[in-house]
Amino acid sequence: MKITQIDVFAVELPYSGGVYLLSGGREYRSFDATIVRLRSDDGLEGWGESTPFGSTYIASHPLGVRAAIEQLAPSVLGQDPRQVDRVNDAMDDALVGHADGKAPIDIACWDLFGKAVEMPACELLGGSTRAPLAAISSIYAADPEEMRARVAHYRERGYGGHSIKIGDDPSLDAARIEAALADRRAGEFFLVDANGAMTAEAALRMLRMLPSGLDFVLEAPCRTWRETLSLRRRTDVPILLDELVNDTASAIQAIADDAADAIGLKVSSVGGLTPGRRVREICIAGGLTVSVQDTTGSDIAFAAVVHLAQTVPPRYLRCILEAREMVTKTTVSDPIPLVDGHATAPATPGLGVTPRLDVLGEPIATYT
Amino acid sequence: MNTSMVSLGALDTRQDTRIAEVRVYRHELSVAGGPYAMGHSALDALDSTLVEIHTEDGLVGYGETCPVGPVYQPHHASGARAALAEMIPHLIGHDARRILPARVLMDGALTGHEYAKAAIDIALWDLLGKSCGMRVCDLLGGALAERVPSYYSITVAEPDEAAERAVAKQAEGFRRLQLKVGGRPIETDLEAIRKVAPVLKPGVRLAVDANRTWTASEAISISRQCADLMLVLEQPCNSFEENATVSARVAHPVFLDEAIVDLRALVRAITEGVAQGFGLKLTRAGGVSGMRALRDVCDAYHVPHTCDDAWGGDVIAAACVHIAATVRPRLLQGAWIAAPHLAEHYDAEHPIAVRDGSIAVPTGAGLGVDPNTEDWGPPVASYS
Repeated sequence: MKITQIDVFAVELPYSGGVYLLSGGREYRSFDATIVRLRSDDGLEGWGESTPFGSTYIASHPLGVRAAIEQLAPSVLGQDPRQVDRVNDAMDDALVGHADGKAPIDIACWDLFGKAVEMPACELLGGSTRAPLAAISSIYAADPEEMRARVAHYRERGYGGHSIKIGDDPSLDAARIEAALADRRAGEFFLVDANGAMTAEAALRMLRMLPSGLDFVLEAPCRTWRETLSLRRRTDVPILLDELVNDTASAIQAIADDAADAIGLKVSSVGGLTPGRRVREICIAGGLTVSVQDTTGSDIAFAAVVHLAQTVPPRYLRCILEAREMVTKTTVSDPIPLVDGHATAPATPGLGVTPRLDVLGEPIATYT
Repeated sequence: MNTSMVSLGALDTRQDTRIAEVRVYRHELSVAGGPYAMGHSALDALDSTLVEIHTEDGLVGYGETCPVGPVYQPHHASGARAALAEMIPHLIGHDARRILPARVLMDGALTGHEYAKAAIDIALWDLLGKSCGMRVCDLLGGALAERVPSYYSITVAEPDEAAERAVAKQAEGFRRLQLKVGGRPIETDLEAIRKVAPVLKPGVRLAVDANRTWTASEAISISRQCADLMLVLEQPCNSFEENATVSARVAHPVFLDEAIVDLRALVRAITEGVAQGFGLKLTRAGGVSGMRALRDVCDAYHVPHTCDDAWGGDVIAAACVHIAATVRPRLLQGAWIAAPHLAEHYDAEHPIAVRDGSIAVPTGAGLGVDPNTEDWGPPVASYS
């Protein structure tokens, strides 16, 4: 079995809420998805997606994803897609770094692998836990009472986890956390996500303004490793690292430095399901909990999130990101349903989703 | 973004130095005299990206970025152009002399991608120099010398051949040699080191550069077997942590290059005692502005370093030489430029070239290089 053709599609995914506000004055109105189709010599096709969160969230941008795929394509053609580690070796030999460009190719290989052996990707990744996966909402930074109302809205829809975005003024952020957690129900999980925007000083001030007993995990408080370690030594709030952990080496470092209690595993940031599986193993070995996410994306990216999360033992799995909540476009004809805020991996081969060519349009690049 | 920073009063109302147009060129630089071999790759030609910035009143500045292939570090040529396409539209109309606010604009358009931001940064320093009639080195604090030493990289070669080149290059005047190793049995690397070391003249320094291809145990083993030789180990292993392991267990000084991805990594490497010197790269640092910060931190800790880039034509070479001219000679390990491996110069009148192992600091305003852009063909993109 050999990869014979790579097609690249660019799809604009409008943000569902108009303008997404992130810390530091960053605004997003739509996202530019790169969707990859691999064809193999036995007539099968596999799909993957990489959708950066704009161009300023991390060092990843849509044009860069496609430039990387252009660089990788000659080395990917001719590979056996079932030999996922070997495909990754070939990609690493062709281009250092650029996990966001390697991810859609890797994910499409898993889709092809599953179809070739008629098994769902999660079964090939180690086996499904069969546990329903709780989706986490994404509550953008706003007026505290507005955030409280948005949490209530998602709660009604069955969401058991909420990601509260902060990162401005310490007292405003403290008020946001208090408001968002005000109606907390038993069993609900809260992340408070600063997306790396706080200095250690601001984070410590904010934490000291909060009443005691609030149950949340602080995600990505600071931009750098040093600031994070400095903060961690001076607070007992559990910390989840996200942008700072993006490969096996940084996951190992997080454990070695006792820098975090949990990580956010973004499938496209680590380079797809093959590296994602490695990071999963390291985190479990080190006792870190994992939230399986992506930068953002449509149904294909979500399918990859679901398959990887489906293999994490529930004790170690926090939540999955329902990235599709952020976009208005459906890119497959059989989206993975979210039932009472929970998803389960499809039992059909590969990723188990069928992209809609009428939505994807014509490929913007083809490599043979 | 802090907009007040961008709109604060004009520097000089006599000139209109707002950016009117930016052209991006793609130019292939052939490697003269056979492939350039490192531990992980061998290259016949490099894909350089050049940036030409025009101001409203007709000044022109040049910048360049040229990854040495896609596996030296996480940089590649089409990635640089993709990043430039993301950023340049935000710069049109901005005063070219306000380099830090331009940096804020670039960061607002794209996170990371220092190697692409470098091309713009270099061009803005060229323009700033031209607009006030000063050389970049003098804007950076003042040249300490009018010639700066270079050093020669002996690419991965058979041990006897490496020793022959070491003899020849010392005869040409080089006072520092870098021996590329890796990507083959370490016994061969060891033999090459053992053959080169005895031909070194007194005072000539040797850096053994594995370009991150050795494992930590290989690096430690080689160092122990060369305990009697004066040399530095340059970027022996891939990750910062592997190099830290090596550094803690060998007697030879360790210089880091690829692992110094930013100022934070430099500070960490110095304060944690992981490296005793650095190979600093212009475009990885984000250009002239980034290199100035690295230079100043090295100066504060009295740490030796080079002023290089991984590859590039005369624009990159000129920028490296201007910075090198402002490094205390005691700390400067040399400016490596690709010129000895190239068959061309962008500016035939003012070539940036190595002669007798050193490079003359350009005398013209800005970078002091006036490229003949016709050699680059039509621009691949242009923004106005």
